[in-house]
Amino acid sequence: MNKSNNTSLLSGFNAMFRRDCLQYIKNPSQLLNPLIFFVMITAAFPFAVDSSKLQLTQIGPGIIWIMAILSYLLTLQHLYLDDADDGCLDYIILSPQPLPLLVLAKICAHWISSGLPLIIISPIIGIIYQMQVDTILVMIATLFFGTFALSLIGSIGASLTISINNSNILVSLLVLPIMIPILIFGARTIGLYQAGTTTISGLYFMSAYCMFALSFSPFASAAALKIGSE
Amino acid sequence: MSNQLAINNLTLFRGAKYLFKDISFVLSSGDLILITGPNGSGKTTMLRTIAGLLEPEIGDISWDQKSISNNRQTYHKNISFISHIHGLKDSLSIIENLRFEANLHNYCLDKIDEALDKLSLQPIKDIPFKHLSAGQKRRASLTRLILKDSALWLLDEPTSNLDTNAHNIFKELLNEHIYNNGLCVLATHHPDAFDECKSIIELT
Repeated sequence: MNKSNNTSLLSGFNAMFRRDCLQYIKNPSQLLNPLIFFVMITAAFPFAVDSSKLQLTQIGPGIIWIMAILSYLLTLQHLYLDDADDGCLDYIILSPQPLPLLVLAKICAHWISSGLPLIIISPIIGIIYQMQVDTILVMIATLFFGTFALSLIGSIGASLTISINNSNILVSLLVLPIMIPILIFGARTIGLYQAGTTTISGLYFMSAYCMFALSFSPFASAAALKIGSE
Repeated sequence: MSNQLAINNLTLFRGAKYLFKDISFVLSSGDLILITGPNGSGKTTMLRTIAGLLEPEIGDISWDQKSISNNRQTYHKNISFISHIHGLKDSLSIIENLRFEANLHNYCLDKIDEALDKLSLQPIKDIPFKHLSAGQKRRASLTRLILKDSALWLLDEPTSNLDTNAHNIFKELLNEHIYNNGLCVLATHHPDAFDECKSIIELT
């Protein structure tokens, strides 16, 4: 591939990434609603259960990861549906850029708007659950790999349902079973670290899962978008 | 260079019903064909099929004697498709939308100013798309015809909501395109407004 082709591919990726990020900035509700949902519910749990340190540190990782997945599911419906509704999807498909690359740009922008804010806010949630600083760092590492994997997996569900109205429940049903390994390894890695056991294998699994999703999600989503737009 | 679009026995179903059946025509450089018909007769679907966004159940579309199903990327480089939905983001301004499209489709960025000038959009280029009138939105959508120098135009109701002045600007662009050996398939409810067309396909 020559240099001009590389530049063109990069410009298409950058254009899509920048446009989606700009959209999230101009529609802050899309960015803030899932984040507020995540913070409100995770912060409310300690009021409802025995708030002793032992109890909180035991249930904390599980609650944080369940709420991260649920708040993520709220964001998935808009990933491609808005482009389908306003006609942008047709122009994206007709562009000379490879569709999987543009899909990857959209997934990256989605992670910036949905995953990154969760990671940034998570230390505060960790403090509420009385986690140690090093445990919070492990939680951030699991959230980093886990949320990117959630964006990649969620992209497949969102692209499969673009031609269906009110598809939020259907997207959740489609992607939730594939997200369960992330939940198990994300929560257990933090829990095991708190118990003094090695956590590196959990992080290896999450990064491998993330790479696995990265290898097929853009292609599967692009194929589903082409079929769904017909 | 001379180009040719050939549509052979194009047929599409919606459920058990034919949307259109056995549509065939050949369009050569300098030709304009109109598609007319009542609402729901399949004009938009036919244009989307010709654009390669839909697969026909029966029939074939070829560009320069090559079927577009085997040659989609080259074909897409040669077409400008204007849908009846604008395909521009509501929260972004016209200039932000056009910069995105220019980068995505490798248009020359210098052409954005030319397009905005020609369609009188310079004074409103920074206003979010959602705050524009229907006619202004349509004009913003038509800028694609200037940004991309393509041989085949596929236009779905391009003059809807346009005022007389914008309508005349569009007619000038279309006449210039046809004069320069361009090809155009245009869906409209007002075929009388396009007296230079080669033929009219009426869908029922």
